[in-house]
Amino acid sequence: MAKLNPLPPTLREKERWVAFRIIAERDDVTFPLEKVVNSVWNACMNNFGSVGCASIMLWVPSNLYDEKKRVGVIRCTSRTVEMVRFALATITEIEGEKVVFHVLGVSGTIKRAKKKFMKD
Amino acid sequence: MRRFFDLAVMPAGDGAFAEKDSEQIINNLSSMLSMASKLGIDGVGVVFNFSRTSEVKKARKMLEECKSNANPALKCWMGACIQASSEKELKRNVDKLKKRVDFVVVKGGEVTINRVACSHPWVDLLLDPHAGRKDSGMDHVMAKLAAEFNVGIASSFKCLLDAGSKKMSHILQHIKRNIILCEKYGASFILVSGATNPLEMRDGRALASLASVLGVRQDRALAFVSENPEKMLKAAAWRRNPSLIIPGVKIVKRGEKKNGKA
Repeated sequence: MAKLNPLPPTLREKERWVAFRIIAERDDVTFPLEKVVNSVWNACMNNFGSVGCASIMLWVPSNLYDEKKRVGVIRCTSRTVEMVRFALATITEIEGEKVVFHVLGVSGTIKRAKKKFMKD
Repeated sequence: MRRFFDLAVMPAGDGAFAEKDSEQIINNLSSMLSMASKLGIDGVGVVFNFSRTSEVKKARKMLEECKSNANPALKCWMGACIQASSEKELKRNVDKLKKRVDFVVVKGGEVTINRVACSHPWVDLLLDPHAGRKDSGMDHVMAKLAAEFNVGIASSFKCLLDAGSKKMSHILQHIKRNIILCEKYGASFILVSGATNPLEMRDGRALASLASVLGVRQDRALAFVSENPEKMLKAAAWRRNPSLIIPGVKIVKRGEKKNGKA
């Protein structure tokens, strides 16, 4: 199958990588990636609808989610970082377990996000 | 560096302080203070609903006990939350508690209560003027009064978390209207978590994002959780200055520098 050419850099949206940590009531509890992704998507859809979600360009890379440490990264556009922050703040539970999504910081590249927020 | 404040943390819940078990309050408060340190909050306003003045001392002792175990960098203030059903009751309760706590919070809802709170010289914060209403609970007259009497208008994040999607959109609409009024007439708008347990607390930037999604500029949204609360606390401390007789008259000791405010 023929591959599409990538979008020219001038037409691409600027990306931001939002690093987060899930704080739960119990320390030993873990959350699988699927559940975390679902809860993030549901929060975004509930707050901003399908049109808003389209502008966010939401993606949770699976290789950057650490289930044990409950730390991960969300990709969004530079204009929608505050929308993602708000959506994460409205999440109160995953699988019946009460949680808080704490945003550790925002980075322009994956490399920097990993180095700065996911080192230990 | 910007400092973040959360001025309405309620470890005893919405109910009266006396109704709760003191051990339960202490446990809740200490876990809330450790959560505040985790979330990067620099100052916490712990608010209790007192029914008697004798409870204030007990609450202060509890706060000191929990503070000694918490992060030493975290600053704490104690406030009294007043839930009144009439103007007379509100004024009586404010007079009773005004000098015993660091700041006075009035829970809004009724228009008459909101209006009296905005024009009372000893009220520091009006919390959720839109609570239980179909409108925002404030008009331009109240916003002007709040600016004149230095009363902060606060909205809590907890009411959003408790609401369903339809009610949440109404609350957001009311908060947006109150922000517009406060910004226009110079009253200080403050965002608080209103948390009754540690998992209802949110970090400063998450609270500010609420204003950002409503269309407020980023720097103004951040001021709602950093500069405005700090200003409110300073004004509250100034009101409770023991050398202040009435606004405009202050006892100045020989050799003390004039700061020009009193």
